[in-house]
Amino acid sequence: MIKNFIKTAFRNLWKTKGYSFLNIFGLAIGIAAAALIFLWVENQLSYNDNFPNKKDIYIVKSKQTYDGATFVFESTPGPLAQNIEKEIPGIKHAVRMTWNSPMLFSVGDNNLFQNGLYADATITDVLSLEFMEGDRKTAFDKVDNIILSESGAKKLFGNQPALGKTVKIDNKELYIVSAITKDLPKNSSYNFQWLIPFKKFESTQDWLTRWDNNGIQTLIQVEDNANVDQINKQLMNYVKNRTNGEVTFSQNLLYPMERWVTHNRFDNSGNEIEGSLKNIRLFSIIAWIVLLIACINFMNLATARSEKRAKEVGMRKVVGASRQSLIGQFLAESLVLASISSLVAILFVYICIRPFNTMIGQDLQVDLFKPIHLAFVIIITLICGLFAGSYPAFFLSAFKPLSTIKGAKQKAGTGSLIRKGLVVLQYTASVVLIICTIIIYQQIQHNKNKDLGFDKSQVLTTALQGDMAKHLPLIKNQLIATGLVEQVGVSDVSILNIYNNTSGFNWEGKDPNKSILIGMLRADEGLVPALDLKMFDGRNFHTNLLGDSTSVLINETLAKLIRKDGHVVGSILNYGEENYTIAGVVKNFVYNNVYADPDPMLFIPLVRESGLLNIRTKAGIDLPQAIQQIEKIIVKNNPGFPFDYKFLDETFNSKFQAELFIQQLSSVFAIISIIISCLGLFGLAAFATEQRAKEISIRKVLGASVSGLIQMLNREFIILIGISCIIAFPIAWIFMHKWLADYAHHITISWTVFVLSGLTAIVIALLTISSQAFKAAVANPTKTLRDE
Amino acid sequence: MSAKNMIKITNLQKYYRTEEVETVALNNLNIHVKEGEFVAVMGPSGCGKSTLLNIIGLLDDLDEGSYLFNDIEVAKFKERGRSDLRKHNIGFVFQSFNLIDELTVFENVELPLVYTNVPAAERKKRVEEVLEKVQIMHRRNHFPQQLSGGQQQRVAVARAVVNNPKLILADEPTGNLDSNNGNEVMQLLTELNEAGTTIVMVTHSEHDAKFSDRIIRMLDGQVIMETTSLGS
Repeated sequence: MIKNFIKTAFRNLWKTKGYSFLNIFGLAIGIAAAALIFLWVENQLSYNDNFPNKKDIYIVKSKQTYDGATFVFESTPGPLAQNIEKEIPGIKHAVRMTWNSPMLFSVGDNNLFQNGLYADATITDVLSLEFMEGDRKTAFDKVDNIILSESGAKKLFGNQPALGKTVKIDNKELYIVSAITKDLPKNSSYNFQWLIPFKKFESTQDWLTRWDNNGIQTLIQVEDNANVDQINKQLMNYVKNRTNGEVTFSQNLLYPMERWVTHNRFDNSGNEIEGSLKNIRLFSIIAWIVLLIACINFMNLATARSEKRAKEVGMRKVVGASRQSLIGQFLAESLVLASISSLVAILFVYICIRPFNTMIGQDLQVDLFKPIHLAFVIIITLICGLFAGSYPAFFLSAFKPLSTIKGAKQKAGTGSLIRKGLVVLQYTASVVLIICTIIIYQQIQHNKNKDLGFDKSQVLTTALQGDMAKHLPLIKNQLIATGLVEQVGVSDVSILNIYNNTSGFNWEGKDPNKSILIGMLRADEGLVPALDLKMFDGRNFHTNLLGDSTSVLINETLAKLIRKDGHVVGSILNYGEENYTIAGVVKNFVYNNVYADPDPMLFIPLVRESGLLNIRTKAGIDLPQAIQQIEKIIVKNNPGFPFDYKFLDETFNSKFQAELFIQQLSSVFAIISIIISCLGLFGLAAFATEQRAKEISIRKVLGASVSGLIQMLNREFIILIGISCIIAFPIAWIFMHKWLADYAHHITISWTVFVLSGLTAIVIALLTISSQAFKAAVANPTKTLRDE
Repeated sequence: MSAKNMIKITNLQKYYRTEEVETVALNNLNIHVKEGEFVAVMGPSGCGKSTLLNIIGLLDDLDEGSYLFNDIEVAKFKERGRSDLRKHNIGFVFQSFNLIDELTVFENVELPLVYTNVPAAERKKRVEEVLEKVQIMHRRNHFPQQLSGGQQQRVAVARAVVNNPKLILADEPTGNLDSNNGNEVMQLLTELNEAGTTIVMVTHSEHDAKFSDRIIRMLDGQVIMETTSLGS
C-alpha cells in the first residue's frame, strides 16, 4: 500500500509541477534557514566543548562594589593563583595568564603580528592542548621557550619545520620554539597563536607581587567532584584575609566555563544575567517561525488543490479505502515532499554556509555523517512532513465519496476559512520580523550617530612600538609637516576602551564611606585636539608635559560628583601621597559602554613609553595618499616594525557587533519569511484565479474592465494582509519595547515604522498576486466558457 | 427453489434538505433484489434512481426505513462498517468511469485489492486475469487519459469485479459511450451476471435495460412499475 501511496505522490507532484515547485522550494528555503540557525545554536551551545576538562574549568571573577553598583571583572592579583592552589582544597591547577594580545614576530624577513598570551605551564594540562611537536613536560622549562599554534607556526615558517627554531619578538627578544600545538576551534574561548611562560612576564612586572593590583587572569581546574561552593566560600574573602583586611575592594569567585558564553553578563548588583542564551532563544524561535511559515505554504497549497484531488479521494473511498488509510496516504505524500525539500535544503545549506559563516564570523560546518546533523534532518523532515501534511490529510480524507465522484464542489467554507487564517498567520509573522528588523536597525543607527563628545572620523590609530616613543616629537612634527595631518595625540589605550581604573582618588568633601571607581587614561597634550574633545572648563595639558605632570583633566561626570556645577578647576585630587591639580574639565564623551552615560574618568599626563598614536588627518584630503605618507614617516623613524593601523570609527563600529549580528540575522530571516510567504501567496492567487476563471469570463463578457477585475481579485488578499498587520503591530511593539528596554538610550518606536512595514508587506503581496490576477483578467473569456 | 434476497429495502424515505426547502427524493420505497439477479432501474431524470443506487451501495444514508443486505440490517452502519461491507461485497461502475488519472490501468484495477490487503503476487495474478477477461491487458501500463471511452469503461468494470464482489452497481454504464462500446460493456455485465454476480444498473436506455432480468421503473421517488425483461 505504501508503494501505491508513494507512486501516487510522485505522479501528483509531477502532474502539478508548478505547485510542487512552490511547495518544495518554499519548504526547502524554510528548512535551510532553520538549519543554518540551528547550526549556529549548536555552535554556541557547544562552545568550549573541545576542552575535555570543560566541566572542571573556571575563571576567577572579581566582584567590586563602588557607590552602590557592583562590577564583575576577570582581573585578579598576581599572587592569587599560586596561593589558592596550595591552600584551597579542591583546586587542581591555578594558572596565571595575561589576556590575548598582539606582538610583533620576526623570522628572517617575515614580520607579522600574532596574538597570544603569557601563562603558567599547567595551562597545557588544563586546556588539554594537543601537542603536534615537542614535549608537553619540557615545553615551558625555560623562560625563553615559546609554544606556537599550528597556524601560528605555519604563518611564520611556512612549510619549514619550526621546532627548535628561533623567533624574534618585538625586534628585541629571542625565543626558541619548544612545541607546536594543534589549533583550537573557532568556537572556543581561547584562540592564541603563541604561549610564553608566565615567568618571563613576571620578571618584568613588579606589581605582580601586590594583592591590591588586579592585572592578570586566573584560570582554575578543580579536582573531579570538587565542592565548588566550598571553594567559593574560601575564595570570597581570600584576598582580604590574606592581607589582614588591608585589601577589601574585591571578592573573588569561580565562574564555570560552561556559562562563559551562554551567560557571563552581570547586572548592577553583580547578579548573573543571560549572555548569548538570549540570542540563542530568540533565533531558535525565529527558526521555528520560518519553518511554520514554510509548513503553512504546504498546507495552503495542498488544501487549495484539494478539489483536483476530490475525485481520487472519492473513488478510493468507493473501492474500499478507509479514512485512516487516506490520512496515511496524504501524510505519506507530504513526507515524500518534505524529504525532497530536505534534500534541496541540504544543497542550499552547503551553498549558503560560507557566506553565512562570513556574516556571523564563525566556522559552522555541516556534516551529514554527524549523528546530530543526520538526526536533525530526519526529525525536521518528519516534523514538517507530518505537521504540514496533517491538515490536508484530515481535510481531504473527510470528503464525502458520493459528492466527489459526482463532481460536486466541496464546501469551501471551512477549508477556505482555515486557508485564509493560515495566510494571516504567515503574514503576521513576516510583518513582525520586518518591524523588528527596522527597529533594530534604527536603534543601532541611533547609537552610532549620537553625539559622542568627540569626532571619530578621519582618525587613525597605530601602536607606539620599538623606538617610536623616543622619536615622538620628531614623528609628530614630520606628520604635521606633510600638510595632510591635522593633529597627533598619544594615549595609553584607545579612548573607546578605557579599562584601567581605580577607586583610590580622594578629594575634599568626598564621603569617606563612598568608594568611586574612576577610569584612567594616560594622554599627552595632543589627544584633546586630535580627537576634538571639547573643554567644559579650564585648559588642556601644556605642551611641556613634564612641567604639567601633576595636572589632570577630568570628565564632566567626575567634575559633577566633586561639585554639583562641575566647576572644579584648580581643585586637588589626591591619590595616596600624590596630589593632582584639576587643570581642566572635558565635556562628557562616550567610552567603554556606548549605550550608557559615561562613568567618571580622568586623564593623567602620559609618562609611559608605550601606547597609541591617534592621528587626525585633514578633511577632504586623499586618504590613501595620506596613509602612505604617514607609513613612510613612521617606518623611517622606527625601522623593522610593520605599520599597522586602525580607523577609530572601525573600532567604534566593532562595539555594535552583537547588535549588528542580531540585525543581520533578523533582516535575512525577515526576507526569507517574506519570500516563503510570497511563494505561498503566489500559489494561492494562481489557484483562486483558476477557480474563478468562469466567473471572471462571465463578468468580462458582461463588461467588466481588466483593472476592475484585477482589483476584485486582489481585494480579498489585501484584506488578509491588512488583518495580518493589525495583529502583527501590537505583537511587534511589545516585543521591541522589551528589547529596547535593555538600552539606557534608545529610540522611541515611531508609528511610521508600522506604516512602512505594513505598506511593504502589502506592496510585495500585490506584486506577487497581481501577475496572476492580470493573467486571468486579460484571458480570452470565450476559451474559458467553452472549456466549462 | 427460488434464490434468496440479497437486497431488501422496506419503507425507504430519503430527503434532501436545504435551509428552506425539504425535497423528498425517495418516498416509501420498497424493493428487493435476489442473489444472481440482473435488475435495471429506469425513470426520468430526478426520479431518484441514482439516489437509490447510492443508498444500495452505502455511499449515501437513508433517512427512514430498513435496508437488509444478505439479511443484515445495514441502514445504521457507521462509515467504517460501510467501507468494510463495500470493499468486500460491492463493485461500482459509473457513467463517467471515475478512474484515477494518476494511476495506470493496472494500478486502477489493483486498487480494491490493495485496500483488502491481498498479497502483491496474488494481486498481480487477479488483476491480469480480469484484464484479460475485459480484453484490455495490452493497455495495462497506460494511463486513463490515453484510452478511449469504451476502454476506460472496460477498465472500470474490471476494477469493479476484481475483488469478486457479490453485487455490481452500475450507474448508466453506457451513458458516455457510443453504441458499439456500449454493447461491449453490456455484454461484459451480462457475462458477469451469468457467472453469478448480482447486478443493479441504473439506465435511461431501453436497449440496455433489455439485458436485465427485471426492470424497476420509478417516478418521483417511488416505484411505479416492475416488469420482467424479455431479453435482448
